Amino acid sequence: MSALLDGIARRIGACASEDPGVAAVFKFDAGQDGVLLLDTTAQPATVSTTDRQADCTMKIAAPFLMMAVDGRVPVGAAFMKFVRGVQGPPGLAVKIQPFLRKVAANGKA
Amino acid sequence: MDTIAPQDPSVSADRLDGFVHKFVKNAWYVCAQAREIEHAPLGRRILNTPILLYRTSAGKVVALHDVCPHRFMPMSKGRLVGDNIRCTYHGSLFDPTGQCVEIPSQDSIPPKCFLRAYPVVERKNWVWIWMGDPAKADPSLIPGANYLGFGHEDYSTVDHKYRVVKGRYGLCNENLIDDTHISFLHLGQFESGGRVHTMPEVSQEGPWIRSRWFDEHEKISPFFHMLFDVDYEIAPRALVGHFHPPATHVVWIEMYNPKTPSEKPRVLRVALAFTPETETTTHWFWAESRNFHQKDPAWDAFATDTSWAIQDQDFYAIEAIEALLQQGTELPEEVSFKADAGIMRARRVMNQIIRAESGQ
Repeated sequence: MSALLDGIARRIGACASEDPGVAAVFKFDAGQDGVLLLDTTAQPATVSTTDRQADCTMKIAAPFLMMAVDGRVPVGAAFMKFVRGVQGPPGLAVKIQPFLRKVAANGKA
Repeated sequence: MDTIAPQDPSVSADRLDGFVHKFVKNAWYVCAQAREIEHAPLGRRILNTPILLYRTSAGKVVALHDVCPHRFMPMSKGRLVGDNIRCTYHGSLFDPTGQCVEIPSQDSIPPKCFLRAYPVVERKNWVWIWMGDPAKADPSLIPGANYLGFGHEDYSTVDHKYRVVKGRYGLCNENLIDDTHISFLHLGQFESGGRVHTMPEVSQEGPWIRSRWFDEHEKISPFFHMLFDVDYEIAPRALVGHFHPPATHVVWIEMYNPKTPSEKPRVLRVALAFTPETETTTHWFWAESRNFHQKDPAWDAFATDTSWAIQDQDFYAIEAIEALLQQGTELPEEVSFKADAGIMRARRVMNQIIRAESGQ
């Protein structure tokens, strides 16, 4: 796992008690950097870097995912520009964005 | 790539010092989003004319010249007294028709002491103003609100915060009419780059320019998978653009299910209005409506984030060209391509309108 993914996991984990608004397992596939799993079916949500089956997988490089969760790029714009593929219901990739905006806002606070 | 010469020989000559920044006065322009106008003065420059906008206590929108005839103080710096506006400099008071009704320092009111009033029409999300001859201000010329996507029962709308682009409105018009920039300026976001190989059908009805691009074989981009919430790798889809000179556009994308192509498609409809602020800056109004995931806040937020990112890319090109034009750079002779058919038609129509208005 890359230090970058570790940092992303910490940022998301800090908001685990927030209502994610959607219940599913999300995988962010960062290629050689590894994967980040966000499970919002759990209460509170869990974050890990251990690979497993997901409902929705998004291919996105770790530096770009970091830009989304640290608020440098609006989450929707980051998904538009940097998500290179979606496996599973693509709508889930939109439904998780409000939660990631909370993560980004928390990081700015 | 093949090239074509402009059919109208005056087009190239007009390109830089002609219609691109000349104003059409006898036309309806969007001056504000309805939500921007409150019972408080709002100043906005339209066609290089300062305009005061406010809403009366009954909710009616008022548009007046934003210059006090006494000593030229912007009236938008003043305050409302009931439904009248008082100049903050010497206290002159004007009613919603622009007539001066009080001068604190004297009893008589000179006949020339008034603010010009402009015809203004509020239609759902947008407020339209007529800057030319008031006798010609026919509200039926305003594109229908449903057609723009506002208030349509099958659609929900995100009316994005308006912005000002540092470029003349002609550049904004051409950016919208031009499909082929999508494959480069917005690389990878809307499609996989194949659009440049498919020519749009361009037609004209009166002054309206219409283009329709259709492809059954183009791969769907990840962005469109998410935005339209579809998982097809390839699907029939159309990009339709309508230009209503001088400054209003409606474009929409129809996404068909490849398994059931006769079903109603998912449609994303974008209404845009490019109202000249000055000769070289433009108010950019953009509203998106969709017939899927109606009123879903996750899609509303996604639309907001992505529209700003897309606009940033368009602004980048428009402002770079505008800066170059303003530097007085020596330019090569302009070359147009076959794919510019819509733009060339639009230029001819704009030239005709401007010449007719100026009596040439």
